[in-house]
Amino acid sequence: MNTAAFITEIACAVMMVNLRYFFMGTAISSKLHEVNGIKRLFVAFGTTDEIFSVSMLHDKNADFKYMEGLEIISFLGWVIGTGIGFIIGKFLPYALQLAAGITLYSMFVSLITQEIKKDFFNIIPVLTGAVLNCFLYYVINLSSSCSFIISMLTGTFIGALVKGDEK
Amino acid sequence: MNYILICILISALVNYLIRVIPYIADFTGKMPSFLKKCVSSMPMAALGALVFPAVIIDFESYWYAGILGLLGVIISSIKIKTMIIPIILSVIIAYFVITFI
Repeated sequence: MNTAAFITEIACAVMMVNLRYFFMGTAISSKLHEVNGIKRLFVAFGTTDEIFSVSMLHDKNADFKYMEGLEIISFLGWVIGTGIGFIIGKFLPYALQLAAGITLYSMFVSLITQEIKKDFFNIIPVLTGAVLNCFLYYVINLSSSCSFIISMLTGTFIGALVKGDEK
Repeated sequence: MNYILICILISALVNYLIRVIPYIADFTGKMPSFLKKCVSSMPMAALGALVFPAVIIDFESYWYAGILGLLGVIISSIKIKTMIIPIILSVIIAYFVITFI
């Protein structure tokens, strides 16, 4: 009984931590008009924060070749990068190891800046998501996955309201 | 079967199912226009929440190095359209801030 309860708990925890990919998948799926059947199962396998960010901000509709290219390159990057990091990590100075950790956030901020350049109102969902996530994490002490989902959905909602007001 | 293996397999299954459901059941087919606006503003909201407070948590006591690095990305991204130069610049800024400040 205990074992079954523990496995259920693990399944629930994994679901909560990854719930954001459900929402991200819904958004990516809306751009994949020409991708059908089993190909969608492959695209779903590679849904991550990075893939979501890059593919959603890609101006055209994403096709299967684009998505698979994006996912395979990222996958190779993670695997090879982890291998290289494991080998040379011991020799790199601590400051450089820490500084290299900024690359993911830099990519995200670079994407944000390009989008704000296109439409300044994009700053509203960005700020809502960022400020609310900080508030929920530091002040309310919610778990990072829970606070992320609430912040993302609130930012999305407010962003959509602002877009509505523009038209 | 090994207990640990069952845990790993269940985690893998849940992990994949939660990703694949929105691709199979297309929720976006007959969306009202407000929901379409939501989908288009979701990346921005997600990116904002992905960066903060994660960058502050990752950099621990050197949180200001992370913030200054990202500031470098914002300023350089205004002028430069490619992504790679601002990213390299942010690593250099963060490294120098951690080392010398």
